[in-house]
Amino acid sequence: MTETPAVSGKREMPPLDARRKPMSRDRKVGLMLLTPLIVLVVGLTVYPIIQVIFLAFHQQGLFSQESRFVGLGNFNEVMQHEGFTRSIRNTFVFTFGSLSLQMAIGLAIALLLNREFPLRAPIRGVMLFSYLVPYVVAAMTWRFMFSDATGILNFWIRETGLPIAPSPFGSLDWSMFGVILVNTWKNFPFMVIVFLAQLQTIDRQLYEAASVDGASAWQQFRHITLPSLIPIMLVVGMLRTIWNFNNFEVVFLLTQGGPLGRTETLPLYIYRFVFGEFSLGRGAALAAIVFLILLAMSLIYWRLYEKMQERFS
Amino acid sequence: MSVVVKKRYVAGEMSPRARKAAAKKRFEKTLVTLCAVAVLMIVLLPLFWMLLSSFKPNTELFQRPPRAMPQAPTFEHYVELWNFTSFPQYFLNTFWVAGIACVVGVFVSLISVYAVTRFEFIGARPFTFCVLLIYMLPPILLALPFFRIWFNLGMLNSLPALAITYLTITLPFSLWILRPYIEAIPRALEEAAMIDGCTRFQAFRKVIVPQAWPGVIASFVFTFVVVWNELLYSLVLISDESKRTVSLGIASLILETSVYSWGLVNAAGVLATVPVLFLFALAARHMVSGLGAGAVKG
Repeated sequence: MTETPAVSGKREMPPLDARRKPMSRDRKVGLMLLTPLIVLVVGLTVYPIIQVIFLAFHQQGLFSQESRFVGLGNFNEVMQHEGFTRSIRNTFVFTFGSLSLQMAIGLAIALLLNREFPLRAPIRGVMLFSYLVPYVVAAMTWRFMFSDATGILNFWIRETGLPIAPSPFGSLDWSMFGVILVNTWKNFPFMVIVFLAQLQTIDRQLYEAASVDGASAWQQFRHITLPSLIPIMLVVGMLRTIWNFNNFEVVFLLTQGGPLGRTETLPLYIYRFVFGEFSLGRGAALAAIVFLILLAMSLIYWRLYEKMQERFS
Repeated sequence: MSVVVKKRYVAGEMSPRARKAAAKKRFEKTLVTLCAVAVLMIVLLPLFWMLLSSFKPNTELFQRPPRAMPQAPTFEHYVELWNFTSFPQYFLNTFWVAGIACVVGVFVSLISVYAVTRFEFIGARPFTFCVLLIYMLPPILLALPFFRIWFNLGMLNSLPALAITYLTITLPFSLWILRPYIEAIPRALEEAAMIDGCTRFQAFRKVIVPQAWPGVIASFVFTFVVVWNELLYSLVLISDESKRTVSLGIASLILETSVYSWGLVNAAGVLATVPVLFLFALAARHMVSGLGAGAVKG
């Protein structure tokens, strides 16, 4: 799930002499086999993307047929809108708040589960449950637990006097914390599984050698475990950044961007523009901006990844 | 270490030092197990709470302080869900839509990966790489033009249109999962079959498909779970009450009603989770190794 296709694509190219000369009738068969994919990709991705770019430069109502070319007008309009900088800020807080929590918890739990102990296999499997359940279920059960009349967490917070809002999703100060909490709960098992898979590739003998040489547990972690984890951490870091950034469901189901726009992230902002104010053009312009931000962030991760590869190999 | 120990111990008997080390090890193991169980609880408690609450009558749901176990367990919420809401319809809709999207997605991926790995087309690998990138696109970015496209074709509110839209999820996902499985099949295997008189199609059916079967299952299960859980596309494309998917049905229960009947929502949540966990249990081994195999390669 988390493979970086570009890297493996580069690596898996067989050397030239290993490639065989295919027969021409065979090539026709191969091309025929590829046709459905090409048709589907053109129809379901290339064409929609062209349409988004077209829409971003046109004034276009959601349900109307006529459209008018407005150049960069849509971009101007959305960037001057009062909610724009707020939703960008919210998106970054949500994305990197969730990411750091998911990383930290995921790493700690992966290190824990990497040890030998009874019932390891079933515990690992069950660990994935929160990652597998639908977003609606995750949102529903957390809303329920925090709800005023029926929620158990709500009740506990009130009883123990913890300095947390008893119903965080409706609170100005705690709503962002609430959505990050649920997003972290939902997605950290992904990190656990990926880190565990990587931890298992580390040669046990390295640790034995290190402990014979008198390295402490911290030193072993610092010099053996961490270096082998960093590349994969960057890869899943990038994926999770993108997925958190694009995440619509968590916030939509928990707070719908409220209260007072405190949790309104970019996907919700776009949704509100298009399906609340029926302006497809401006929504498309925003979506294009989101895409450019994601592209820039991916490039940064990519550079980091390459640097790390050089440093550790 | 054992060099310094002077006394000789017969088999079965342990030196005090070894006994101490063993005790320490046992203690550590217990500690790790306890930690793991604690971690597990973080994952499981919200889900258990949903399960338990779905069996509580309304009076108990509003009881303060809340009790964990239902005092008078009842199926009334499930009965209500089955008889008085459209949820049975939603389940059918989702099975149907997800089934089509996944079968088509996995099949197209299977033949495409096969074609790409067996015939060296110029540009084929970069092309499949680009397909994988689809999964990185913001869903909202695709949702807008899809709304427009289906609107123009007069196919808003149509389940087939939704299923076709879901191909944007199932295709890249199953390509991703299937590729390592098919690349791992030695060419000699199908060449041998073809020398023995199989046509290419027969070789594909009798060699490739069985060899890649775990991957086929894994990608089917995985894409099914993703589509089953999907909300945004159905929210954007479906407005007709009878055509909702399960996710959309629960979302509207949460968002539209101001006073929730929490028992009903919890029951719906439990039922929406069951197929996912069932499929996972069925294919757990493939899924985890698939996840891992994809993950460690980069």
